[in-house]
Amino acid sequence: MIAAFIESDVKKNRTISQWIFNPFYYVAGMKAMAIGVVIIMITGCFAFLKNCRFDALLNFYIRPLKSPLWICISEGLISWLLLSILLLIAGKIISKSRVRIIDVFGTQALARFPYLFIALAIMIPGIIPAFIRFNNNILSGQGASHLFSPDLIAFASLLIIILATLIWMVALMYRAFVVSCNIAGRKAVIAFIICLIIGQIISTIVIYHLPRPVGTQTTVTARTLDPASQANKLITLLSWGEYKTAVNMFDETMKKAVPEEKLKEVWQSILTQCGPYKGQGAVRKGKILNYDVIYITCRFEKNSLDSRISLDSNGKIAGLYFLPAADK
Amino acid sequence: MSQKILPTICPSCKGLLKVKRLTCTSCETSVEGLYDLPVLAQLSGEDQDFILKLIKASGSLKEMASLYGISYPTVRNRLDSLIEKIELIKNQIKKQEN
Repeated sequence: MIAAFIESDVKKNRTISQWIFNPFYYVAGMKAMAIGVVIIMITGCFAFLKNCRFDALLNFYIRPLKSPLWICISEGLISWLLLSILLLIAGKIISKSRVRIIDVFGTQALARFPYLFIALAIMIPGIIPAFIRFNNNILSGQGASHLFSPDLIAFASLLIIILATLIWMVALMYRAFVVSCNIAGRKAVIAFIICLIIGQIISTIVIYHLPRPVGTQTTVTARTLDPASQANKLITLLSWGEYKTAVNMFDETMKKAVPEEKLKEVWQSILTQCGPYKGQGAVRKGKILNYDVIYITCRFEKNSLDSRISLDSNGKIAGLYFLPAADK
Repeated sequence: MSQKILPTICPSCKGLLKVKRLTCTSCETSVEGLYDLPVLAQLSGEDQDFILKLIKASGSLKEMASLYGISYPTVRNRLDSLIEKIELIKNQIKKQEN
């Protein structure tokens, strides 16, 4: 009786670990593909909501600007399709078994389900801003005193989740390859690593060349958004250290007067004087002649500054000043 | 009482065992000789059960997958490894005959 209980317990544990590390033992083909594609799309939606990108086979980035929803979803789908094609070719060459296309694509889609955990983690309120703050403070050499702050906990937690998930996902992709192509041993490992590296390179290139509509990522200058949003973007880009993209928002006169290096210098000197950047405060709008003038309060650790951003009729930034905050 | 397992490998030299004597359980007539074990009889009980179920399922791997509650490639991989085992047994028999 006891032996039967122990045996059923062992069986149960084996089943759970099987579901975690080799779900393809139970699910493959069309069913796995349907589940996997739904998860890829949900992950893309979450990434869109939180300005995150899965912009290559194994990449995860938090970006300062929002990308369109279709790009966020396409990135996951492109990565999945590319790796599946490569592994299918490798399987057809190496395997002695009959390799079904649907099994390779289905299991590879399902293998991406750990990304859902990253997507869920980034939805935790406050975790992304804390992650960004800590990351930027470290990169700019600021805020060493913040090393043991709640931001560190958020940073470390998210980093651990991302790393663990990536390792788990690669392990699942390998298992999916082994099960769907019925190969094992050194051959399987080498073929998988080669496909993974090629997939990573090709997916990076393909996703980088996806057509981006005006108003996103690199082409942020066109006037599709209101001046307050543009001003908001500029401050976000500065806080991220994305000076090159920020300069792209300037008009020609500003570009000459404040090139990338100069802008970086200005922002770094503000950080040195006022401490690490903490976030944005109140936004006020005004108009001087043909220019929209936006005041955004920037909160730093030691004090706050008002940024005065002027935008011309084309939505280009024609002026940028930092003044002592009006309401402290 | 648990089911008896037919030994196929010699516990002493690891060679393949053969049938020396067959007995009728109703009249107790015995036939003696040296008979090879059929290839299928040399497979494990689990493998034999798998083959029987596959025959009952008219060779449909999809049906086998739903019967075992596992995926299609898992069933196909198991069948592939069974084919390999049978090939191995056949080769071993051939070697002993030579």
